[in-house]
Amino acid sequence: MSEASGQDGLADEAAAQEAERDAVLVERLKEGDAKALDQLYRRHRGAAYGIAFRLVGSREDALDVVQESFIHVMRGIQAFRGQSSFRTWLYRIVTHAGLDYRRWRSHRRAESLDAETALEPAADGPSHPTPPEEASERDLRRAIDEALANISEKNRAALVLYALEGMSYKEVAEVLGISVGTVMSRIFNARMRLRELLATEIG
Amino acid sequence: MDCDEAKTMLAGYADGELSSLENDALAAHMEQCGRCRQIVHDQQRMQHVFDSYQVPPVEEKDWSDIGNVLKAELEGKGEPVELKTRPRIDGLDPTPEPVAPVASEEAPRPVPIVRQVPAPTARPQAAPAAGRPPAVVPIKVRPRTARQPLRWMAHVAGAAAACLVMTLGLAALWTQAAPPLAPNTLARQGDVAIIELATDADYSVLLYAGDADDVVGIWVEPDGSNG
Repeated sequence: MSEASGQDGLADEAAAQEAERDAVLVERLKEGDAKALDQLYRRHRGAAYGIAFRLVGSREDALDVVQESFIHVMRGIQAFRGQSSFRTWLYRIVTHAGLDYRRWRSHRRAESLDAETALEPAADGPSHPTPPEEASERDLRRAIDEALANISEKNRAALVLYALEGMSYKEVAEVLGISVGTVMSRIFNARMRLRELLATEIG
Repeated sequence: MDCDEAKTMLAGYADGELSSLENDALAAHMEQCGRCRQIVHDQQRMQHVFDSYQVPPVEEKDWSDIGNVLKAELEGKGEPVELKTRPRIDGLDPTPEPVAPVASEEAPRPVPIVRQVPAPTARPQAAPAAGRPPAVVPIKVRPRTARQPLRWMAHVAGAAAACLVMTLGLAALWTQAAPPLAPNTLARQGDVAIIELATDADYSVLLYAGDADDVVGIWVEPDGSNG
């Protein structure tokens, strides 16, 4: 128990040091320092991409969300007062941008669906054979994509953020601006819905 | 603790996010409740499934492309990126304009607008003329309306002064001309001499003058009644 709490203390200390580094870079970015922007981007792009991909379900769209999120950061950095950590602020932006992007994408697909199906015959799947294990993994991923699409935005956002390495309920609560109890409730409901939707695939 | 109460904490129990007190209470409940144990098992399993949902890797070129876009945006080079997303977050404009890069050297839009606004101290009377294109109009109008009555007053005062001077001059001439009339003195009552200025068939004009040639009065009386 004491060993675990000691590890938690070290993790908290490391997180505090990372937050301090971010704060220094943020101040430099406010002065227009391009190197500070580059460092912030390199430090957080992977996590931002992880959130974005789990929200939008496509590599290209996720990269688009990452780019838009960092542009939002640049345009709003002067208004960032450091009341939360930069990481929390960035994840909040990425989460909202990802959900926004998903709505924009679905709206656009709905608009172009009729035109595309009228012009081109429906594809019958990949033209080349696929290894069974790769196919099953792809099927599971597609099933998870579809299941996620059928989970409410709020529950999905909580589940996606908690899936990030090192995120606790408390941090998810800070990113989403809700209580820890609400985070727990949303994650619970998201998993129950996921289990219901994936009952066929995972048994 | 019953199942309804336990249900609110099952996810936290599965993730080890509960306090030790909550954890012990829930553990005690689950020793007797297979249904809640199954839910905790499902929660952990779904988390594993979700964790296995690996995100595809990103090539360095893709990261560099985004980095270049961000740098160009920061330096204000090229067209601002048009965004598809507008996250509603404190500190972010809900409808952000596709401009205003941080510390842009060119600052394409704000600078001309700022420079076009004149310094407020340079125009203390700018408020009445604000929005009116010819700022000189009030300046032309106001002097005219202000100077017009003064000009008339000056004319009137000048004319009055000229009349006064002429009157005094005539009076002075008149009094100086009085001595030649002295021979027409009709009578003398103390210091006052009665001088006949003019006379005709019906009236006589008499001047009553003192020793210092002061005019005491002018009397007009019908002729023949000298009393």
